[in-house]
Amino acid sequence: MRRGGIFVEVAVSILLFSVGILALTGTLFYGVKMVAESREETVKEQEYRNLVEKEILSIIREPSYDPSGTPLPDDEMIINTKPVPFTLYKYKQEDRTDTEIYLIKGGN
Amino acid sequence: MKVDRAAVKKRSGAALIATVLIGFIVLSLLSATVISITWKTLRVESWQTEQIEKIRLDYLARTAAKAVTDKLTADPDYFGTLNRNGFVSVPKTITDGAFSATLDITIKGDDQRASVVAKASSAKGGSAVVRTTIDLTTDPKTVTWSSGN
Repeated sequence: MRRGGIFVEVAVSILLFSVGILALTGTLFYGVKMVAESREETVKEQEYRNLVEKEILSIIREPSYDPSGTPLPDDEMIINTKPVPFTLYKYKQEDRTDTEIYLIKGGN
Repeated sequence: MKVDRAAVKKRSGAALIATVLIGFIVLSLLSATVISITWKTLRVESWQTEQIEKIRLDYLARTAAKAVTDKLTADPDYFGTLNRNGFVSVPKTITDGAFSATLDITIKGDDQRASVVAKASSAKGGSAVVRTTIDLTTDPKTVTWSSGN
């Protein structure tokens, strides 16, 4: 007879069970963290959207408005040989890729 | 519970097969759940990319329409005498990094009213259309905005 065999089996079972429980707890914490981050991201995204919407309203309502975006080099559209000069303003949400939005402000 | 040891001895490994099968089923269910979550996450990401592209084109069309509308409001004959055939702009391509969009402007009208249609379209296939209608008979001139085709 090998004495203590059952003890070893139980110890190994408890070890495996503990590893499983730890993994599940880790997943749970990760999930909660993701939800919290997602909430912050949504708020930031909405604030960014609001900022750009306000910029559009200001461009439309106030002809002398100076947009807060990053200006790109002046350009122009041609309609029936007549130029419509404009400046393209670039907006970007901080710390996020592929969120660039561009607004046109007509020139003189 | 009384175990028929004789029967178990006859089929050695039967318990192992059952354990393996149950393990296989459990793992299959877990894998299916993980694949489903991944697929849904990818779909949401693709939807978000489409949405930002739509917004980007819409804002570009809106502000382009505004720039042309301002020119027309200041001088209705700036682009020539307005007519129903309309003036079509030279397509304007706007490029910055990975972003690229083309702007097309059409101006139509008569001595009573003018309409400006600004269309922004991207290489990915999306587009946004914004229209302004300017009443040239009022002072100050009134502008009505609409979007869509």
